[in-house]
Amino acid sequence: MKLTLNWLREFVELVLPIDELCEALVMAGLEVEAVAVHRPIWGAVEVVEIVNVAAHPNADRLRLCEVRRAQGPLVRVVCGASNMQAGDKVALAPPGSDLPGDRRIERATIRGQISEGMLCAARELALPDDATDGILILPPDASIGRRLVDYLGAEDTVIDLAVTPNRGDCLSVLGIAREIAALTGAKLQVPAPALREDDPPTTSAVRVAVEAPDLCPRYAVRVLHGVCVAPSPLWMRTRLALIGLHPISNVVDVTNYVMLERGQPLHAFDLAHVANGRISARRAGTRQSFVTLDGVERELIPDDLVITDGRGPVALAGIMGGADSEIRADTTDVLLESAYFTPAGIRRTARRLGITSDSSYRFERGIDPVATVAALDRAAGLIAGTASGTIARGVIDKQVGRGARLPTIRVRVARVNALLGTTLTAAEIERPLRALGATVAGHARAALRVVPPSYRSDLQSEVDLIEEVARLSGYETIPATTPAIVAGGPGFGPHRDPEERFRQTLRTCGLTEMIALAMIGAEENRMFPGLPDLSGKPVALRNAPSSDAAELRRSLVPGLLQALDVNRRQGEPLVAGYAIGRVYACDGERYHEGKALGIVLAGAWPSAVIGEPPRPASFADLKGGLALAFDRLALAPVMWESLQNEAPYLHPGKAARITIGGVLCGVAGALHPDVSAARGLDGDTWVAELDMIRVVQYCPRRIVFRPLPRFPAVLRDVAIVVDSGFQAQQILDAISEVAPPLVEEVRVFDQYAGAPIPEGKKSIAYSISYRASDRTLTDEEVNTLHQELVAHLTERLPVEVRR
Amino acid sequence: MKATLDALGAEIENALDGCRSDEDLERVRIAYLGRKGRLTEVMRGVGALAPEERPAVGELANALKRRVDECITALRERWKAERRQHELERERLDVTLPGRVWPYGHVHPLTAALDEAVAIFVSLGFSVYEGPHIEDEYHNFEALNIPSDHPARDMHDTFFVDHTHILRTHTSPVQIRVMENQEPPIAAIAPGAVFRHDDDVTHSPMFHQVEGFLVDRAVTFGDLKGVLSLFVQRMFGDDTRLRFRPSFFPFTEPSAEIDISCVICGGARAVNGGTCRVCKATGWLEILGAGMIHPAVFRAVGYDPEVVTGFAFGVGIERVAMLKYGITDIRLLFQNDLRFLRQF
Ligand SMILES: [Zn+2]
Repeated sequence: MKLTLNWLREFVELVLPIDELCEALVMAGLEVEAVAVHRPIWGAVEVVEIVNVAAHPNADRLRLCEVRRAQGPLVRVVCGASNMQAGDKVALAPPGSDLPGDRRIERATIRGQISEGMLCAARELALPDDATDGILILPPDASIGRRLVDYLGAEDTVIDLAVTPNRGDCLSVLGIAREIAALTGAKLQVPAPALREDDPPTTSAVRVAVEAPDLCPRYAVRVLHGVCVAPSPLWMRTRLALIGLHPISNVVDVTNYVMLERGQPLHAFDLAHVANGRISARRAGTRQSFVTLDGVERELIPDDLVITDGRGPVALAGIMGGADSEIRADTTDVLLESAYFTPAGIRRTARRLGITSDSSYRFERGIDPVATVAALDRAAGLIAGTASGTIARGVIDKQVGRGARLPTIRVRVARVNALLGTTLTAAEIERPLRALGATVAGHARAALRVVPPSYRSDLQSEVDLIEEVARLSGYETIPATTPAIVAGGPGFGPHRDPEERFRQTLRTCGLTEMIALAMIGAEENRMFPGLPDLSGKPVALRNAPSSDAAELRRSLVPGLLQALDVNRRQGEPLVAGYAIGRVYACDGERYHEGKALGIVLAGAWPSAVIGEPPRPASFADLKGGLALAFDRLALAPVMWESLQNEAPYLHPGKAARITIGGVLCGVAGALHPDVSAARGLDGDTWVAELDMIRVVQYCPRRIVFRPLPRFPAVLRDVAIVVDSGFQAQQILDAISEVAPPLVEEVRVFDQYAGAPIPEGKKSIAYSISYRASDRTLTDEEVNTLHQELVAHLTERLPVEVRR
Repeated sequence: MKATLDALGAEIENALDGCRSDEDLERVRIAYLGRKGRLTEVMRGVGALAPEERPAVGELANALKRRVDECITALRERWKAERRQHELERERLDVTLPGRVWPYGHVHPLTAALDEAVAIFVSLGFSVYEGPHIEDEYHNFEALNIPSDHPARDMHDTFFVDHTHILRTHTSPVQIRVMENQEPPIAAIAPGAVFRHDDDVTHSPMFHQVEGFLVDRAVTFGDLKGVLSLFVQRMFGDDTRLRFRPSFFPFTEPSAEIDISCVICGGARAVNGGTCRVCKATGWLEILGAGMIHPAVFRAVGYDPEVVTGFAFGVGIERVAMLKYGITDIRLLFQNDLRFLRQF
């Protein structure tokens, strides 16, 4: 909401300097977004009167003007325009004055004639153009010697305020003036327009009916005859331009001006295009189309409120007028509408049609239902003053019932203090409410009976008024206290600890946390469908911002691959990242939100110490990091097995499925080469996905200490030659099946292929640890156990023990 | 005799001064203290002196011998230590070479800020709750006193999923969900992602909030001020000042926006002679929205607003992180550029 200080001054005295005024507005809930001081460079330009116009003796296209200034002799000015005549008030830039565009006017000799300055065109002063060739001719009321900036109000300060949706009353100069009056104690003055009405009466020009009183509780009109549509006066255009509004014509500008000033949206119809002189506010009744004045054809539904004439709709009530009845250059009779439309109805229609106008914006937020006619009169007076024309006698004012009924609200002193934590007395509560314009009817020590002013439709209940008391007293006057919080609750909750330990472990392994947007392209969701457990379809957004953010992600992998891409472009040699976040799917009407962990690992670890070569990231890095994290959470048993068909985007040979306690919890491995190639990735890109809900679910709630062994372990190694397709785990499984109870741990510690191992075979070495809890094992005892174990193993599996 | 000893002492001192090695020392020792050494001989000669001279001269001779012994030992040890030092210095490392690059991953600044905020509130007695991101309109709007034809909905550019579901536009629906399932007193926070359909470069369609609320029998606006002051001062430092400004949220009344004194200029509105750009020369930064929970919200969850009161607040974590770390472009937070992430 933009307004100017001069405009405000027409309604309230500004007793505070601008800085303090802004501070007071901010602390009352009206955020000041900008303050712009407009001080045109042409401040020295003054109003003069032309006394005489003569031809220039040496140039056909120039004129010699004699003009009268406030003091001193007449001065002569050479002028290139010809639209002036004696008696006109014009703008003189005297010698030494500055004009826009770095121009300085000096006394000059033009074709042999001395010119004491320059007569200015609107364009030369960067004023809204009046579309006439030639210099600016001012209205006769401009007094000689006055600075033009003062006459036009061009020197002014524009304040831009952010108005919250509850404060529709602050969407006008008058509303802000009221607020300033309440805040500073200055008196509000609203000038009453003196209207000159002429016959015939309004009722002879138009008949008004309200057929939808629920949507239109009040509808008032005036009629003006003999109006001359032209540019509005320069002062009005200047002021409208200051607040960023484009001037159109006197009639239209006045409706905008009064709306900005009073907060009452107005609409002007060309009465000649109001068929049969009949106006009705009613529901559209049927589906139909209607062309609004912006030239767009709109589809109306039966419930939309429209203003109709004898034929059909002429306006989308409170939102936008129709193209057929708008004010044109040849309009002479004007029907001026000022109404109160109910906020919800306006909003429904405006929202459905996707229209936001200054008018609908105000109706939606609730205007003053009592000020309808005052604004209408103000506009009629301004039109008559600026576009000539006569005002028809009388107002037609259709009002449902006896007009707006204002609520009486009980405000309990104890309640005010209980909510705010204050010790205010009834009088201290009453004061700010009165300053707002509320009537405090009943007055007891325990409660006040308060009737809010008509323009504050947001004040409906006790708490609304408590807020006003707090607001006007100043939030800073409420003492801060520290409550005793006795609520029980889960604190951080059960997930945070394991999840945080998981994250920390991954960071210790060199993985950096990454956060990507939850929206991704549909293609990405097809390619990376997420964990098998996330059943159902992808969740699509109905108003997606773009095709690459059309759906909610099923997997964190695409976001990480995007990060990989970003960092590859930066020339990062290694990208190692993890992300924990939600993943989404839709199963019929039900939505699933899972929590997933994703990892991306690609490139080479930089050389750790100078001289050592960089080391390509490998499956072992991925598995090692995850295994460490599982271990830190004491998760067991964790199994890594060959991928089946869980993740088609992974390399079928270089990927694993991870189960915890036999339940599938994730996958890890290299990206499928075809997927890599499609993304322009070379080399192996290692990725992993885990279901964090399951991981946390299987994580033991507490760590239980195991006593330290009292007797030493004895180690024995065995190297086994197997087909190269054999997996280390198969032998581990077999060993644990045949192992006697004294076997404490079996570990793979080496793998070897090449001579002397035959082609197509490899050797895997296992270290087996034997330990008894009650004695030190002897070498002979262990040798016997170990030989038996090896013998059993070779019986069970087609393997050969390397000697 | 005394003169002879003095002369011999000076001579030995000279000889020791000329020593450069253990071998030199040994030669000097043998020459003077050996079995046939000169001092040894002088000492033997003491017995031939008159009995009254013997004790004094004997004492002098013994003292000289002790001095020479000590001197030789000291020199030997000094040289030994010097040789050891020299030897070790030859094993010298170039300590200016880089150390081993231990892998270390970084925490995302949003997580760091979110965790810090959560930890502060938990330390004050609040408990953490989560809610769905795909929310129904009832919990996101209606129950929070935002009816469908209310202009306050314009404050939320909503992503729609189906005719009743949206992506939550704030964390406030968790308030409703928690209150629907519990009776007061409740002290809860709800951290997490929220979504708004903003094309603006200063906004991200996904961002993070921490919602918090306290409901009990006599919670006041003063309590809200107290709790948020504690939070802000722990988050941004004890000398951070707060300003509570009236504002509007449909689900709280009275409502407030909370500004903190600018983290860059400290409220002075200017830095290094120029106006402060971070606070746009206002000295204040908007950081939180808050207020007393609206009676309509309590009624929606079946609480009696005459019996319980409460406050609620919401803080934008992106903003907190940006202010805390001086990040100027929100998009950096979601690009995952390692040059950025490595700084945290
Ligand atoms: Zn600042």
